Amino acid sequence: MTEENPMRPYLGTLVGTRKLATNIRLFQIELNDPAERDKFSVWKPGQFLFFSALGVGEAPFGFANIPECGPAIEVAINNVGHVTRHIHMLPLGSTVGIRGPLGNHFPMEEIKGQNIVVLGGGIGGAPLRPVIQYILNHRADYGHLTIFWAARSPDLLVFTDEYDEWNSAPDTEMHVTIDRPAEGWTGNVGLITQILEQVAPSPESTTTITCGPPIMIYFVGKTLNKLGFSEDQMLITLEARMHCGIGKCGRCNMGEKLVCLDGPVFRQSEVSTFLESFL
Amino acid sequence: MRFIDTQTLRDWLDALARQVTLIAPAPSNIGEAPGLVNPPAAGMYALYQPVGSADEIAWDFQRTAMSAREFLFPKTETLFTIETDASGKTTLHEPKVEQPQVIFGIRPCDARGMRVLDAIMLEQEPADAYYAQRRRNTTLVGLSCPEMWENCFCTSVGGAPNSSEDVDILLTQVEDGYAVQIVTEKGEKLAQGIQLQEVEGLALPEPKLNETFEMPTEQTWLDSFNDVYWDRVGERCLGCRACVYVCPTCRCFDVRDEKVVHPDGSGITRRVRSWDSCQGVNYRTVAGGANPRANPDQRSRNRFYCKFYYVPTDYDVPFGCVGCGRCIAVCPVNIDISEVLHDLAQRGKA
Amino acid sequence: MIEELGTKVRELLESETVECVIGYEVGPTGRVRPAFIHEPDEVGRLVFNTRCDHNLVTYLNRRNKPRKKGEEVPTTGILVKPCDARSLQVLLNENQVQRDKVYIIGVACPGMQNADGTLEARCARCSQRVPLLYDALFGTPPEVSDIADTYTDVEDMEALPREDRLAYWLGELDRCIRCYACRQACPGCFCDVCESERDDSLWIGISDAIPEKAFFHITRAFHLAGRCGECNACEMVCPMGIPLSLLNRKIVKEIEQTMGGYHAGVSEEPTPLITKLTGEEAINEIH
Repeated sequence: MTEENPMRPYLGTLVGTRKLATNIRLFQIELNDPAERDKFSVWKPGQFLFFSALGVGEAPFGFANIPECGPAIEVAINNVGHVTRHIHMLPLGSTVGIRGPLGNHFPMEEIKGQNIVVLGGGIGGAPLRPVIQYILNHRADYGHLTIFWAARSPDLLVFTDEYDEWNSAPDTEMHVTIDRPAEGWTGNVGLITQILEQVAPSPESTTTITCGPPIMIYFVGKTLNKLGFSEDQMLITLEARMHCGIGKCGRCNMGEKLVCLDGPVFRQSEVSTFLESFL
Repeated sequence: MRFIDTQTLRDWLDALARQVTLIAPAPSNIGEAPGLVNPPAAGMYALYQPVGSADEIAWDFQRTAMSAREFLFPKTETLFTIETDASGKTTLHEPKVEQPQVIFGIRPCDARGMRVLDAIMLEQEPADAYYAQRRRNTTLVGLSCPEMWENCFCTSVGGAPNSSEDVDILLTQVEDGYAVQIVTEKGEKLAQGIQLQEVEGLALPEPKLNETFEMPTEQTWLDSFNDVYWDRVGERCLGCRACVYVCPTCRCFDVRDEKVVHPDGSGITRRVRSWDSCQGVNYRTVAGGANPRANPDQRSRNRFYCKFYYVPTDYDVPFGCVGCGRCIAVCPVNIDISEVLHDLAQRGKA
Repeated sequence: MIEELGTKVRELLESETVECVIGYEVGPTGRVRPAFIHEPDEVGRLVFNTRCDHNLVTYLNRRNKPRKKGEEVPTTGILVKPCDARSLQVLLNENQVQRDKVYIIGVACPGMQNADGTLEARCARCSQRVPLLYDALFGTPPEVSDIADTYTDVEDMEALPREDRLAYWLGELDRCIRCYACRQACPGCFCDVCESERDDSLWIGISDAIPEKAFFHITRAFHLAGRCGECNACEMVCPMGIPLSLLNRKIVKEIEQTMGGYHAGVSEEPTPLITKLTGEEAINEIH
């Protein structure tokens, strides 16, 4: 092609993989070509990439780390369908395809100086990890950090081995909760909205960032409202089924917005004006 | 006014067919299925196809059954292939499309359709490289419509049956030949091979027009989104998707990897894309099973909003629909886009 | 007839026996189209004439589930011609539709006409003028002589040499655009995910190519073997004018001629056909 071809993946190698939770694995990829690697390593929290299991298919996933915490690209993938099932079976050293970075990003520059409340439900925590990593790496630029991390059950919590590091970071607190009591679990039990209400972070100079299933984003939004947050203060990230990620295949539209181009990061105030919703 | 007589045009097309891929309306068997109860009018059977000579062209055609978008955006296209040899080494090949093509006899509405696709595929960054290649290699020689036919409504969406806006050359049939308007540089370049005459006082015939109707306002579209009207439209929709496939401006596609593995472990994967449609039941289903358009009324509504609200909002074109009327002709249950526009415009006034 | 039909529909809606009635109406441009009557006052929209050729039974496939979780399956009134009633019988036999959730309004059928006024080919060979299945019947059955279907359309195709037949079908399949209108219009095609649209492309890929299209059409014809009511909806809706009925009719003919005159949808019985025959009986019958 004489022009840049955004549908063409960069080839990379699977350099690491580990189990994060039931049906969820973390994958670490390094791009093969050094020039492509450099070009790619500008991704920001909130963006996404397309991961190809070559010969099987391609699917979009949010970045689960930042380039500063590289050099490998990290993504957390839930085994829910045809492509993800094959990704889960990939042996180390496999050649994979990566396209991106795509989409917009969390406005980390814009929210400097703010207190940040991060809310992650299930695998929704994975795209929030880059936010946490960025804040911890630039700690002085941000105010108090409150992390709410939830899952239906303990075996679905992601990045459990990093909670201690996050919790003990300066000016940071973390609240982990599971939906229902489980044997051996001594932590919080209750929905993320319940623990959010209990902790009741102040809305003053605060930005919230939520990621999880649509229904969770909705109810968290309602609770934040109750606590005095305006929809303008709430950042969310939407998922969608995508085939191109560049605004051509038409599949990811929510009304006149394309999740791949106008998002996946949106302010809740914007989402509330969308013609279409998941609910 | 420049002019070309019929024989000179035919001779030129014969020569052109030997130099480039010449695409023109050609006859098809569409009207012949014995069970077809609503066969299209005789002039609507043609399909744009590659032709080898002027004789193969359906000179009496009115409107083709399918648009010409497949020549910029094929029904199926290989995006790239990945070859793996027996040792596991992987190489990726991207296809190059360099063959120039001329689409002769494209109607102004279909050319307008390409303009809409340009806005989506090229002007919105990043550009689609495959569409860009084909577009660059394509010259459009348009043919004015002598009249607007059944279901045509181009004039209601900012078009005209004799519009030269979106073509490189426009021909209008007159006595003994065609008046020739060279519109763009590309057209100028193509026309270098043609013997054109200068004719003083050549009057272009005025095409017979259908009634133009009032379009709903942007506010009406916004206000009507949750109206029960869409239930009434959608409930009879079969989800047959024919409307999307005949449309000049639809561009949704599906992507799959298709793999062939040989016994020695080597193999070839083709990543292909094919036309798809938002009218399919599971088009918008996400991982986990949620589907914001699970009901037929939501899907039907999406099509109309996409054409008249989303595309005009997101891209630099006034409408996402060119008024060609094919979807009206082809819908088995008479979901009529012009009826919907009329109903909505009335609602806006109420 | 239409007044009596209207009265009946009004009564069904007012008594809430049904949630809605599916029939036919004439649109603003004069085309006949399916009509969903929800309110008693809308019954004036209903028509029945020789252009009412849609098979409305396909709509029942999406009305056999509650619209919202926790709600009941709605009861639907539906107009059926004799051919439509056969498709409906197949759906009842296959437990896709519950008998008590559908109120069947049968109409005696004069035969449907093409745009030029001639009798449709499928109607010209049909002697069944009254549906075999109904809760109420409207219209006077026309006098019609005993017509036997001689399958001349299939035999004409069978008479062609093999190469010509192949060339013909390759040409027709080339024109297919995989829009799936045929499948969507067919009451017998109700799979949640069609074998040709699986995410994993297990059976066929997504290309617009003859191997895929041949696979789709032939497989669909076989999936309808012993189930096709010959309503011809598939051929009527095809935007490319492909004579799809020939594929289904070929199989219908084989089944009728080799399995004791069997036709789908004329009686209550489990389907598919293959389940009717067991062991020695099956082998003897086929040979």
